[in-house]
Amino acid sequence: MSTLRLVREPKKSEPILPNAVLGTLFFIIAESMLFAGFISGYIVVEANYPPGMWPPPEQPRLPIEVTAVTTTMLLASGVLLWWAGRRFRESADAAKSPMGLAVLLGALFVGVQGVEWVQLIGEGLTLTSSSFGGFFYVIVGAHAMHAMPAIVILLRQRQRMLRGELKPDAFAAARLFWYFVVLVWPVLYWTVYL
Amino acid sequence: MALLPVLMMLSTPALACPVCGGGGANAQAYIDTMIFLSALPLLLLGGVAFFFWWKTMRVTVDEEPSGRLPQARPQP
Repeated sequence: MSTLRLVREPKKSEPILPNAVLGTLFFIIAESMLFAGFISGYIVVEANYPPGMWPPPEQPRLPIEVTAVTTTMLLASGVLLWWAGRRFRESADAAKSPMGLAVLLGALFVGVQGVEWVQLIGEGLTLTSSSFGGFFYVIVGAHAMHAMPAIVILLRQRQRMLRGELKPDAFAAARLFWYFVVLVWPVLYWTVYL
Repeated sequence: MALLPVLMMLSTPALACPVCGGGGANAQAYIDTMIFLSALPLLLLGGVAFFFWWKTMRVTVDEEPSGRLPQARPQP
């Protein structure tokens, strides 16, 4: 007598997250701790000064208004890249323009930050001029060191997109990293500038 | 429970550092940031773990509503 056995065929399941996105996610967690450490150090040192004495009176003031504008540009860049990601699902052509604009706004943000640094150094705010100067350049510089490679990666991905060679997983990972760069900046702006 | 008083006393030597244990706003900032730095990695990794759990549950429910093997249909 023969028996019938029902055997479940293994399904080809997709990973919950692509490897590129998962790797980027863990990198972002590590980098979040880096910035959290910087912010914590800044807050502890700031608390050491009497009220109204931070930044030290002899040090130049930071350009709060100009940086507010560049912060808005960076946030807009994040929104545009999110929009590019959504349109990329339809077609690569549809994502070209928002992605190009997002990269342009990100590059403008870094460019204006560079000009700001040159002016502040000219006014006497340097790494060694005070604790405030040291923290300012380390924190804002660390952010720029994340923003610049991200812009280069996004530029290269846009070129691949134009050639029709961009892989969705790689684009998703780059977008995720750019969201991190965009979202960590308002926290730094609020901590250091305001 | 017996370790609790010992753990509570450990915070006093930690505040012996002249920068962190100066008292006032400085010590408060030190304690606040210590809590922040201790909680943040747990929150971040916990968030990722929760996301995976939530996504796995969703995928499981979508693929196998009953969790059983499909029944053979009677042939006409």
